[in-house]
Amino acid sequence: MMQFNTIQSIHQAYVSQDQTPSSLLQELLQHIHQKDELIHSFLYVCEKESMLQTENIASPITHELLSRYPLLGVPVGVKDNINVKGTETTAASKILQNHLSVYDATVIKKMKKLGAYVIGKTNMDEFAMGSSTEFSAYFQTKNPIHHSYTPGGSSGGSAAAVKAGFCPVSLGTDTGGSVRQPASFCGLVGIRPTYGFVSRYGMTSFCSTLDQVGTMGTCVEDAFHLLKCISGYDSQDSTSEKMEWEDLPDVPTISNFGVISNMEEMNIDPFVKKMYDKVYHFLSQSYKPSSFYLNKLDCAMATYHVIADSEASSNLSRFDGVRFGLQRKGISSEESYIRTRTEGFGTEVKRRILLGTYILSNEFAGNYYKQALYAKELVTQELESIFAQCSFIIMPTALKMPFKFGERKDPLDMYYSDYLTIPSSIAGVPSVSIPVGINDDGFSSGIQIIGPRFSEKLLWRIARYIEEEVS
Amino acid sequence: MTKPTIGLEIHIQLLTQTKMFCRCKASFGDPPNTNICPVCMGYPGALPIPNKRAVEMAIMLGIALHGNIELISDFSRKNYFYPDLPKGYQITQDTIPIIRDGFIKMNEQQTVHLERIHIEEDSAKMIHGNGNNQTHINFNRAGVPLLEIVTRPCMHSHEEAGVFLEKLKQIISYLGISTGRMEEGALRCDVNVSISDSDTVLGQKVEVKNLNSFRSVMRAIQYEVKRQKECLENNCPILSETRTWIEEESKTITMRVKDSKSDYRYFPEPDLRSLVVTEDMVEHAKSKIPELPDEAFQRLVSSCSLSTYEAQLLTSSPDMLRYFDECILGFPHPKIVFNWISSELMKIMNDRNCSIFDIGVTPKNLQKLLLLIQNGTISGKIAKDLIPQIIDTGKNPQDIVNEQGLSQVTDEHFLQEVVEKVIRDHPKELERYHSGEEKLFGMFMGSCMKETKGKGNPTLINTILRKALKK
Repeated sequence: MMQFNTIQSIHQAYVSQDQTPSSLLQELLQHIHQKDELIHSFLYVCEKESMLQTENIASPITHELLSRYPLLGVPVGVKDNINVKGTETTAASKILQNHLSVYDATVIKKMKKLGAYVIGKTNMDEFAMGSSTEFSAYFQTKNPIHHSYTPGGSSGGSAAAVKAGFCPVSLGTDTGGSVRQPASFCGLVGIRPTYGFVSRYGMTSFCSTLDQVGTMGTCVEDAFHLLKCISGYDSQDSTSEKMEWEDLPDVPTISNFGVISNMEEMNIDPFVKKMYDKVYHFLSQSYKPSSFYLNKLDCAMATYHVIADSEASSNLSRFDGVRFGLQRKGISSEESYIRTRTEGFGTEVKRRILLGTYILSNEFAGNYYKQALYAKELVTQELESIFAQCSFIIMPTALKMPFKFGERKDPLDMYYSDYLTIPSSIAGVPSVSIPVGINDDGFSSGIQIIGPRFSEKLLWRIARYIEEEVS
Repeated sequence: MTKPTIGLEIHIQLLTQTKMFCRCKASFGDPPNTNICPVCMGYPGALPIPNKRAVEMAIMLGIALHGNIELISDFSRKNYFYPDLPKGYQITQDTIPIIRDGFIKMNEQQTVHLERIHIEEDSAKMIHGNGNNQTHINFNRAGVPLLEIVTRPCMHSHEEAGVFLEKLKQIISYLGISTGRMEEGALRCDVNVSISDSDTVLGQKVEVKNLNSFRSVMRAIQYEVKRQKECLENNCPILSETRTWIEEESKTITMRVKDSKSDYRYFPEPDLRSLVVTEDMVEHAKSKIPELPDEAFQRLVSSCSLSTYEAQLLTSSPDMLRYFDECILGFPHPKIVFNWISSELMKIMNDRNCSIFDIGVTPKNLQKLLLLIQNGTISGKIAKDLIPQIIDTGKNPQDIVNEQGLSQVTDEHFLQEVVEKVIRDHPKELERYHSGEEKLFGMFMGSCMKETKGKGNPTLINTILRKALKK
């Protein structure tokens, strides 16, 4: 199936009539049946829905048709916290087991309108809280590169499905690194867009202030192509920006690029360091490197957890068993809530709800949360001041290479997986992770390119450049 | 001397087409759970969008009540679990309400000052019972826009609170932003009562809920003042508590004692941006404010020469005033119009408990009827008799007069004959009249009117009869 692991290869097969959308789907489904038993990337495979949609695609497929429907016949894996009408959307939680979506998220609508179809809903850490997909309430997803390793998370299923060749691209969600980190663990390209550039409508909220839908693909071209198709203003999301892909600023003349000198203090995996240096030297041939010390790096991590857990505690209040999802009866509504939520939520989700509830409680009179919003502003300002002096920054996506199942038992260890992805999340700026090199186990190291708000076109250019020459 | 102090918290339901944060119809009289969507049901992924019209209504009320409009205010989440609250939090305004301060002038001496007015969303409606120990929830009401109006603790008697509520209701119905009908829950009022023997320090505040009419608000205050006085006299402590009014027993009982402030974990709503009010929005809202009751009252007294009683009656509701104004447009005799409205029409309104516009006599028809009296076509008596026919047939009074030949007889020759016949028929009465029993004139007059079937012009008959009786 590997010959169909890019959008371009699929479209070529359609135009040359080697494949029709239906025949390709049949092959993919067969492949999924054979291999996903082992990998467990999908929580739900949309067989019937996909068949119906592919059968409805007109033939012959011409280049002209493809220019109007740039995602025509493209199967997309969709993280299970994004609503796809008529399919189960559980966010990998027991509390939403068998919950059928009654509507399409805006990103799904946009994608379908341009010809794509959802091939399956991918596994994830419950409510996107985690960095290994081990916190799914249903099952673990294996890293297709090496099955004893986690695919990263929380969008681990979306990464595994693409890596395993079940679909060329997928949607994930990134709150603190949940697209970029699994993409880097599975040797893929993963993008977190500018906050407000992609609609959150229909994505199950974890942390409204930081959540963004992101894309993954086997190549820079595909991940950006899909992002282009799902981006833009949405009147149904108040936090959405009035910005369309066409209105993004053009790529500026690149003068120099930034590196973070804090890295010298960090305990970085030698292979990660080697690959990072490789990119650094390559870019240095064309652009001047400038070094910056990110004072607020440690503060970003704390800020992230205060904001994320506070909002999560409130965003997850709606799962009360009254209107949808799991319901456990009790002699009072209070008892019913307790039983439903005790049974419905997993340990990590409960931990965050408890932390968030405590942070927002009277004891702190909301001050912790307000302080965190203030700290978020400081991190943002610091990054902005850096972008005033350089065009983009590079840094590794994760400090360490992929880890094995059960390897990170201490929650704090797990939280540190996001150490380098959190700053751009906090600042609301876009970031793309691209795979560089391959070690003896077959893993690549993810290198992030981070730019100022709405610099997606610039990131695309740089990512492509590095991909061509280094990866 | 102990002095009671009273503050009110009033919620009014706004008459918008759609709900506060989604596009569902804001009409909860429809069959249960028909006006619902993912947003107002709190489904995963759904996001709120503020209703501009509701914001405009808040600004209108703010202007009408002389408040200060905050150009930037915040939406917040008030977190608590209850089955009627779909998201597990209510979107409201906490630290910065859209309107601060403001007042209602009750009379020359008294003014009730407001603390704030803010926007929030209503909860669903719970229906208990049906004898099967079940509770049903109707979500049609969930998300309907509300304004909460909080007064300062500045009233000192139940009468004052009653007048304030009447005034407030009058203003909101003039603005057309709410029906203000308490019996339908379109206006809800909670009361805070305290008593103190100091002029400077307020006593312990007690909150009273479950008030279903202005009358019960007043009675509950009366009861609470008396109860608290007795507590003081008997050296019983007055607890910080919420009490509930039991209408049937005319008393308040403890609902819950507040040991510490309830913990609603307020924090800024991360799914919404700050609410920005522009100069344009304020100007637009201003242009939509009609003449308010106080202004109308002044106009009626000064330019229509009506008494304060008459002006008060006509300004009691916007419909009444509009009806009056439409009538005097074509029949510029305010006093006569008032008399007809206050006697004939109000009788029917009260019988049917409806608006003056719904009784079936349009202002045009009342004008025509009054013109027919003025130009002598019909008598006032016939005009009164015509009202039921106008209501039944909806016909123009002139047409009814023509069809039934009800025009007054002004033919002097004919009337002369009638008078002579009546005198001929009553020889004994004529004799008594001539011997000084002058009150018999009324009998002769009545007989003449009867003879003409009520159509004879009374003034003419009067003149002719007097002349004839002198002979």
